[in-house]
Amino acid sequence: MNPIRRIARSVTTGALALALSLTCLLATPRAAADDTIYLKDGRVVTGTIKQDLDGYIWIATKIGGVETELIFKPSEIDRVERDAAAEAPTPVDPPKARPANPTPGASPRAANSGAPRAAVLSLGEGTQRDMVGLFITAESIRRIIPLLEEEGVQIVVLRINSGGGALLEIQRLSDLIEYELKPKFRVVAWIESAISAAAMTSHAIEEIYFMTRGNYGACTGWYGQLTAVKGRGLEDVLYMMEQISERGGYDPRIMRAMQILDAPLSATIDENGEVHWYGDADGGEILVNRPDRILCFNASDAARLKFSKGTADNLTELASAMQLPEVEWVGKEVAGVPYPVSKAEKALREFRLQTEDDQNRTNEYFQRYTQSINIAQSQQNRQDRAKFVNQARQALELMKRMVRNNPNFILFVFGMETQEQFDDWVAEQEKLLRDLMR
Amino acid sequence: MMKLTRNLLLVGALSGACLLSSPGAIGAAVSMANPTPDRITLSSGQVWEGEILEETETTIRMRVVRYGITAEQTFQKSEVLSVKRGERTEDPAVEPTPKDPVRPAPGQTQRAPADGAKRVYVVELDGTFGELITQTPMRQAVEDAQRENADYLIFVLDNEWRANAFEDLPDDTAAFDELFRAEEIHPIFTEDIPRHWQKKPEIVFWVKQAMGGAAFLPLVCKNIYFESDGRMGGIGNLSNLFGSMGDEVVRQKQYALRMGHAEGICIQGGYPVELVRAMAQVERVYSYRIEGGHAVWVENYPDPSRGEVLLTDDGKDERADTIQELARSQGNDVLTLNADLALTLGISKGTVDTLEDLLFSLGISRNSAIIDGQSKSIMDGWERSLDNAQRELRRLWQEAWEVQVAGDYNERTRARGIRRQKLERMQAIIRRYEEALGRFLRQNGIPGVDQLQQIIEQIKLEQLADKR
Repeated sequence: MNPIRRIARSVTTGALALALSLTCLLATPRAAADDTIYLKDGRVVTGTIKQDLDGYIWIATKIGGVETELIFKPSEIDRVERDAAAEAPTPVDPPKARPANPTPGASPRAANSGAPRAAVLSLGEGTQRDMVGLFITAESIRRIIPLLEEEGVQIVVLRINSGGGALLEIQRLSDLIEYELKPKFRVVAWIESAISAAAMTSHAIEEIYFMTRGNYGACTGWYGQLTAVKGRGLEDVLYMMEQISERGGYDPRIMRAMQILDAPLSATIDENGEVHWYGDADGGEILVNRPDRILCFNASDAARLKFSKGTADNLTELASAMQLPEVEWVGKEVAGVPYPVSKAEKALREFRLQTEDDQNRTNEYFQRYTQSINIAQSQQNRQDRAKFVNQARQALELMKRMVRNNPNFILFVFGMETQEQFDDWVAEQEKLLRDLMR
Repeated sequence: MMKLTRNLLLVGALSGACLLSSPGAIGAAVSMANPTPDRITLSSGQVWEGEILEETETTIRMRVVRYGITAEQTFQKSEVLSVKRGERTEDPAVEPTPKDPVRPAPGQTQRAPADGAKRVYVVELDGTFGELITQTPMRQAVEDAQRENADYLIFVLDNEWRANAFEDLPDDTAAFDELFRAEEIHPIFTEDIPRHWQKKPEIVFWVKQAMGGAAFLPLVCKNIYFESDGRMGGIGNLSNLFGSMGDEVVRQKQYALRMGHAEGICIQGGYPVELVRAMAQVERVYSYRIEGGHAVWVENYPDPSRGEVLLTDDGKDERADTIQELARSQGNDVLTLNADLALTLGISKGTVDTLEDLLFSLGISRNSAIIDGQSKSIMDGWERSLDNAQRELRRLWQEAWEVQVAGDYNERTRARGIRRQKLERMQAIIRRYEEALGRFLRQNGIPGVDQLQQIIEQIKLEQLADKR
């Protein structure tokens, strides 16, 4: 996606736009022009003014021949000269599925500082708490959207560090990103490690940055003893990823090379720096993936082939790569976390910790439950039975709580497909416990 | 050679805290330097020069400077043949005339470190990777180095690579998946130091042995030096990691994701990704040639007309390493770096056999001081604690099951209480040393924290069901 549109979206949906009407927003961006901003520090920036909100000016310009977009605060600007020839307002073409309405409740704080407000949300913590579907779920992210809005966040950086997980969650996560996050925020993926389902999740995001050590790919579906997903199941996944590739704006052959063998990939970078992809090993000048291998990008290749928009190891580098002259990272410093922890991030972390605790203790819950029932059933005395029924009830409550925190346990632990099935099972157990007390 | 180095480190550790605990102290040491030093000749023939600090009836304590390293040494008078005191300067600001900037010969006195001398903190990493070489003590050592305002952090890496107490493992033994263990340690270098140190130290890895997961440790750092006998490798089993299990496409996925991680480490450290590919995958063929003083990697058999040299073949058929080659560390199915090759390929910046040589190579031999830090006691303390923890776990696990739940109700209750206490104590120990206990628990059939909790819950239920 055009970076200018991304900026437009973040402003449209963010706090800066809160007080402004849609009409006003659409009237500001203009056709290409030679506008000039004279800054108080003596610099002169020429380009095309894209937006002008409350004195904040977004200007598309070229630095060293590279097109970029800069934002200046009113306090930095001495005066502005606009190209009269381009004064006629041109409506912005709103990005697909991106409402221009500002998000209700967006924080006024952004307007105060001027800098866009960004939050880092971690999806996975490397070798622990990183499984897509268990620790990275659409539901857990959906729950924290109000917190992001409450804190006036305009840019969401999804810091991905996951070795993959369940295929079933990919579509849900992709839909959540597409229909619930993108319309409200500028969404960015920052890749520490995105393997398999984590890469497939990130693929819906147009704006991907890598850490220097980042990796992305190896998306082959499998189960059991390294058995590949085949036949119709495989075709379903391949088709799903073709659609998700379109969401992210990626050539579908890239993801295909990450999923299956005999999907060679090569590329050529033309004189304009544009990358052309080829579904064979020698069509392009650069061999990206051999037919007998599965593709996994490293940061160098991702940047060279413009799959990533840049490489950044810390927030300063990331802001620079994102062309954010100023940004306010939302959250508090927390020991051991290399970025400010927002309320939303805190909630995600708590969700993962609770999920991990429940996952580790699942056997304990079940054992406690079943053994308590067995003992209760063997007790003749009602008073004696009550002790064990109480124990069983406590264990059942723990199971209900684990599902409330993470509904995906219904499938992963209880082997059921729907909440209704789980509710029915709980109702049966509660009846059993009541009966034991008769 | 290794002993000499360790002695030197010990000397460094012996130096007084007051002398080296702060940059100011170093300055004081410099200003006290004698134009003509005190000299002690030992009955062994050794001559030590420096400044005599204290003399008792039985000992002489001397501040010595050897190869730019300031340390304190105490000599028994019984071993001293003669003592010659030098002249002291009246003006402490007078610096000795700089000598020819050539590395001094052993035994030759070098001037004391100048004011603002580089503070060098040394951490010795030896023992089993992932157990003794692990993040908790390493992080503590790095924190100590920060307190000591270290300019240089030198990690002397010499991981144990043994089949048993008597037998070293050969180059072709491999443990690629220890990569993920290395990734748990890397944040010390990639996150902690960049975030918490205002003035970033120069991190140096001095490789004596970096095999298995330990091979990935130095790669996040830009300064790698090798000992003459140093080797780095032991990760060449990636292509055989899963044998013939499952489908080829899934095996390829597994290789790809692992190489993605390994390549990321190389890129972060500024090394070519071909390095880990050649080290990890048998089927990869690599050669190199030197262009403009730099190694150029070629993914193919060498072209002799271009001066290319084979690094690794594909290990197929007659090209598979023979047992004779393997026994002599001459196999080339996968790459194991030795000092020469590491230097040629530009992975190593130099080959050094002593700490003083390393400091010389780093260009700080004449202007540095070894910090009298706590790293040795931290690393040794971890080793002792881990050893105790393992013994304690074995004992508690055995005792927990030796507790007889018998007798009357009170006795049974008490017995269960004792069993529970032992299991809970085990949980506490495991939680504390979890990062280093995985192999031990597996080998000794001791359950983890969660399984122990299940046993505890079972005991609670048994107690609840018991009747007077």
